[in-house]
Amino acid sequence: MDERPPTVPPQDPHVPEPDEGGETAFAAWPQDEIAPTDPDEPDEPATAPDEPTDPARVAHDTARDDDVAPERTPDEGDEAREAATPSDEAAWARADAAVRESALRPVGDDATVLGTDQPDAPAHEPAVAAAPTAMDAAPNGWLVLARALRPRANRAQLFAAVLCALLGFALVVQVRQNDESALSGLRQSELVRILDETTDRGDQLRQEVVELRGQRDELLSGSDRQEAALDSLRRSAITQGILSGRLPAQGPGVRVTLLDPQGDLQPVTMLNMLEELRNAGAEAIQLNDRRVTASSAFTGTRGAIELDGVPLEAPFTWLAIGDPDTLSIALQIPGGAMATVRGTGASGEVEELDEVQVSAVRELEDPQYATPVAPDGE
Amino acid sequence: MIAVFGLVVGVVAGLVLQPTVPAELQPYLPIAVVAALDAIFGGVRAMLDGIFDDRVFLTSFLSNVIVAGLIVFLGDQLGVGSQLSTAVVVVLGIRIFSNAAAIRRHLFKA
Repeated sequence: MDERPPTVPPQDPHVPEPDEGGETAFAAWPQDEIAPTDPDEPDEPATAPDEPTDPARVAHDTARDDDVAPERTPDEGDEAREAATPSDEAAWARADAAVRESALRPVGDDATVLGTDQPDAPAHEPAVAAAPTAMDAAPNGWLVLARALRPRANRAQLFAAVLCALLGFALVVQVRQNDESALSGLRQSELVRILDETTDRGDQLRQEVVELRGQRDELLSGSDRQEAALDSLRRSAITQGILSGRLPAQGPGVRVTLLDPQGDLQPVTMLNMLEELRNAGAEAIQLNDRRVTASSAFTGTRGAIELDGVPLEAPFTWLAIGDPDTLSIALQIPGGAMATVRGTGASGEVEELDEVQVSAVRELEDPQYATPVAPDGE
Repeated sequence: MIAVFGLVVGVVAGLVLQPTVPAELQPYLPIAVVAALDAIFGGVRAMLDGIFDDRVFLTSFLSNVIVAGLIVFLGDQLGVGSQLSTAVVVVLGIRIFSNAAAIRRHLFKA
């Protein structure tokens, strides 16, 4: 009891005795150190037969309760002193370490730490004695750290430096390696898996490409067809617009001017002339300022001719788009339209023109009764 | 201090030399690094516990690294390399955490 307190300070962490360290090792690696400590244990019961029966000891083992420890301090310390063999020295060091640990434990007992220390339990037994003194001597962690960081060229510092350098080197190399190529560090099975996934993905994408290309072709040909249909419709609309008088037109043709000072012309004469023009292939016809179409009709009486119900004023000017020669000849054949006009007492002339403007248009009304017949096959 | 200096020297050396890891060692280097980290943390804890010993530190450092590498190598041979690496990392991680907790208790008393 008396000897114990003095023995503790020399074993204070900062100056580990060379022979101690070899065996005591780290409390951090209890697994490594249990084996050497176990052989010591059988010695202790021999010198301290009361140990197994001590209820305080049992309480300490199970609950690791430091309050129980002081009661046992005397005999424990003495026994340990008496058996001062080198191996017991080591046991003492372990004991101190363990006690220092247990002295700290009440503050925060993690499950992890308990788990780590459990194998240490045997080593704690001799330590119970030192609990109070070790508690007093529990070093300030920062002091220990500062003292350890103080540069000293001893073996421990050198080893630590070399190993730390090794770690730093490996760390940097590994991090760089990881940055450089994520693939080269992988295992064969992982590479195969990645290859499989990539291949699958590539296949999927290829299939998608084919599908999308098909869709695009379909749409393109569809729009082509639509365009063609629209084109033909537009052309047809133009043709029909010209024929029905809905659109103004221009082109080569003839101009026929009829002078009728006495009002001798009859509607039928005008009709004759219109039919002659149509026979000769006139495509767009205008009389004065009115468009003449398929539905046009000449009515009225001699000298008061009406076209579609609107009276016509002399002189009458026909404009017809078509082949000028054909039109001109058709009108002036003997016994033809011009001959008839002259026969009635009026006069007129035919001019062949390169450019005839049929500018009059006619509004069409929607058919009231007729509806289109659906084309076959639809 | 010398240890910190050594760490810095190692990092600088790695950055300057830029070595390439041989293909055979590539699966083992990360495990070895984690094992070494565990050893370093254990060493710091032992230092705070006052039982630091250079011989044990050296041995445990090397044996940690070698054993971890061997386990992974064995796993690779058995076809469970990735699983065993995970297992090693988990175990070492737990130990690092528990050592860190002990260090924390030493330094902050909490």
